[in-house]
Amino acid sequence: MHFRCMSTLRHFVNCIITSCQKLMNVLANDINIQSRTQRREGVLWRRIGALLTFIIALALILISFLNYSNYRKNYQELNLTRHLVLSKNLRQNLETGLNIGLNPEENVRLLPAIKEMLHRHTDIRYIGVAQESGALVGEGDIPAYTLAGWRAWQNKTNADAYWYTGDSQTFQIGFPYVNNFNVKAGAVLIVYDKSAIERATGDMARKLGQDVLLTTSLLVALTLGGVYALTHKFSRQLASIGNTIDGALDAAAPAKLEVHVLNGDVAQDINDFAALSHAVVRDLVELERALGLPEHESGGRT
Amino acid sequence: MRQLQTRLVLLTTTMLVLSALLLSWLALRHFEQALPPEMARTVAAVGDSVSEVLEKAHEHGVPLDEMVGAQEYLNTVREDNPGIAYILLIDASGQPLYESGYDALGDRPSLERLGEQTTTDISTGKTGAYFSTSVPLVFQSNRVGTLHLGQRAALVKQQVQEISYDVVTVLVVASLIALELLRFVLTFVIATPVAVTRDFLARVRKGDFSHYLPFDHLSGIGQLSARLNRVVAHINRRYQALQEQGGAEHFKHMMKQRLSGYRFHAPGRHPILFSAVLDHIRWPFFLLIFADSLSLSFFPIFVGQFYSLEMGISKNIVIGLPISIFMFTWALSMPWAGMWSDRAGHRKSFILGATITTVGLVLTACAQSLYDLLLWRSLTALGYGLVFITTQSYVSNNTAPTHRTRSMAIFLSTFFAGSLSGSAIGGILSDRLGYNSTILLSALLSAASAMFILGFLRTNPDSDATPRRKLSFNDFKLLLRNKKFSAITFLAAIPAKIALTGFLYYSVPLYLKLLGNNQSTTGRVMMAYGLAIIFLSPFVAKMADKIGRLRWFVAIGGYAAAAAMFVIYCFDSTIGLLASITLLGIAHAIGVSPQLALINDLCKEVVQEVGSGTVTGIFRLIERLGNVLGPIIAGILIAQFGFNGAFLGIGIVSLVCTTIFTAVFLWFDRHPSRAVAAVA
Repeated sequence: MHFRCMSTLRHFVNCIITSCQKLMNVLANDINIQSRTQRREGVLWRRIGALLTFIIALALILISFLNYSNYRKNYQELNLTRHLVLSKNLRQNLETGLNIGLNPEENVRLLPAIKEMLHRHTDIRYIGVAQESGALVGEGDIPAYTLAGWRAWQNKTNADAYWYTGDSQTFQIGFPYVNNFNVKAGAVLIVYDKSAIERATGDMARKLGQDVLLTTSLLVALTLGGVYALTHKFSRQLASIGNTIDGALDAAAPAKLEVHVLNGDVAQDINDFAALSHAVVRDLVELERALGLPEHESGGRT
Repeated sequence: MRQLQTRLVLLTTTMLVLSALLLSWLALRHFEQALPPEMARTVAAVGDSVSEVLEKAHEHGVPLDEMVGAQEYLNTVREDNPGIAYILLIDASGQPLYESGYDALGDRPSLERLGEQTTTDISTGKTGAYFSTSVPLVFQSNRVGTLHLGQRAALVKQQVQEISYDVVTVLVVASLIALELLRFVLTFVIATPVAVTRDFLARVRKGDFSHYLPFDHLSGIGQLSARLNRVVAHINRRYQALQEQGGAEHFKHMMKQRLSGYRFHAPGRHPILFSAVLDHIRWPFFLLIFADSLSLSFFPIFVGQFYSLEMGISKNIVIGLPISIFMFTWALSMPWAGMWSDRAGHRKSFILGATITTVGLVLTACAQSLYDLLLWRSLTALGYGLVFITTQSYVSNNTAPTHRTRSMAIFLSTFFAGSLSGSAIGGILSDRLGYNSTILLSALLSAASAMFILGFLRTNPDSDATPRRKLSFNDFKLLLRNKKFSAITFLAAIPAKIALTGFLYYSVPLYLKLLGNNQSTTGRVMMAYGLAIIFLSPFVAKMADKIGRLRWFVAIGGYAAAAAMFVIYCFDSTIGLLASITLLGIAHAIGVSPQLALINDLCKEVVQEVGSGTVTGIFRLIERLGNVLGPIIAGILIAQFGFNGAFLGIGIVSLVCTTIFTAVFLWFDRHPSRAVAAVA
């Protein structure tokens, strides 16, 4: 008797423990599903928001890069124009000298004029006159390798044109001049510093960069807020559709979505899906029973 | 769901436009502050050199007020620097000594106002309608006078305005690119999962459990896919377990009876449903056109590098050769490309086309001689042609007949958006990267377009490309014998191309130069055509699909093109030309997209027989005749009657062809039996 009582008690305790375990599992599962649902709701607006913001930010960076490139080009062209004015001025002095028979090396006013120009324009690193004969009158510091390069430029540039080139540190302009017989006699050379231009365009790049940061910060806040507002309700509806789909197989009767979900037509489609899936599973279960298959052999859900 | 997509598109477009406008406005403000002082430095340099000359004379003992020839010298300086409106030299007491251009000015700044500006340093300030730069003349430590150099404020404003046009161009181009990319992303987050889920649910409603939904990388709407797939997988597993168990004959009979209304997939299979949405091909196509157009603005200069006198032909001919070869190969490749696209499927042929284009572009960047370049440009054209035709074929195959005009308009607007953005950005990029690196970047973008197709363009297993016969001369004969096909091609498509190449590409750049416009203005004015197509054609085509009667749209487009030519004939100016180009864009937005849709509608039998891709290829090849004829006709007319005569002539060609087109189709309407007989 005592043994039977003990056994019943043990069985009762076991039942309670098993029930508690089942309840815990169900609760844990519910909590899990709930947090998963919330996570999914969060995923949609975050991902869409991030993608859209990323693309717009890319467009803004592209706009700034192109604007900067245009600015840089304009700035360089203005500098070129200014130095061309100076070259023209020097060429005029030179041709005036040639008109009265003074070659550049004999023109005593040339070198002081060059020195004065260098003094007034601090961005110019070298001013010179390269003659067809190979003689060079000039002032300033200039890397030796450019001298050889100038000869080549001088040969292929027409008397009424100019050449414009550069290296990592300088921009170089060559302006051919003509003698009394209107024949190309040499070229005026002006080499000016790149660093001042780089500094000015660098400043602009920084300003434009700051603008991009400012605009993007505003954009991120507004876009993410907008996407959240637009997709929040939709995410919830998606989550409820998900639950309906999940219940299509296990529940005694398929769960039904309310007709207003996603404008009704999707709700009807999902309800049809759940009903049909439920019906197929019922048919399959009956066939499994007819074949005498235990339910767990017929493939559980994954 | 469509509502959500529309709202997201609206939100994103608004954000993009607002932030781009804000950024451009900020940039413009910086430029307006930074550039005018730099412009003034040029004027100051002129002032400096004038001051230097005067100082030398002063050092020789010539007083400032007795310098003979000073007036002539100032005139010469002003002639050399046309940006300077006046030069005025005043002495220390404020009395004018010499001037150039100042007295002739009606709106000249008063001496008092200029006097206020006199400081000890070079300074620039706005005086009336001028920016005046004052250069103090300090000779031998004595202030003897001031030199004032004036630049028209309007000129400075015009230069700043030029920069603002550049900023607006950049804004438009970057927005076009971003909008294309946004459309692509939103399609994959919302439209595609919606379309494919609809298809999936429709199949299930018919009892078909044999397909799965694709994995959703972005976890948008498609987050339901995994759950729906789980249900389908579960049902299929149970069904397959039953099949494996076998059982007696009567059980098999019962199973067959019970499950007769359902379809399941075979064991070990995992068939996935895909949806063919037009926007899937739109971004890769845009990217490829964009990539190839990057080199448009500098390609003639790039080709010029390969020229040498030993070639014995004119440099202009050499520069034109690779462009002509490209166009020629592109046109010739079209029918074969169309046939191949029909046989191999859109995915394969696009990837192959983009790969060939990539290889062609890489080799173009590495070309060592003109002959290499010609070969590699031909290769690039082959790939480009294949992608061009494949996209059109995909568009017409994956669109319901009721939406065909709209989808062709989308194709057209994507093509122009890519081409316009590419050519605008290419010039800027080549300034920074150099020609070869920009072409290599084109190759990279072309490869990226193939990667996009590889990753995103899928076809359903049951909609595989149907193998067709090889292209034959008979296909051309079949199509050309079809009176409706011939009428659309020769009376609508070719005249439209004649107007495009003869007027827009050939005459407009020359004429704008003649009117005194620079290259930037020319580029910007010509952009009006592309913009009209990009923004108008989808709307007009939507209307055309709704109303039907596509041939009336073709006719209206033809008449509008003729009207565009008459506009410039009547209003001979840059503004008139801008109006004319815009009207031509509108005309083509109305009339060009319905052409291919009209062929598909009116020539169904022959399209079915020849194949949609092949028909598109042959149509585009014949249409290219217009491209060839356009510049020739325009050239002859310009030589004989001048530009205005040429515009009138092209307008008359459009008018006559459109009138015949309208009459022919009215005749077809009244004699349908003859039209049918003609088709047969």
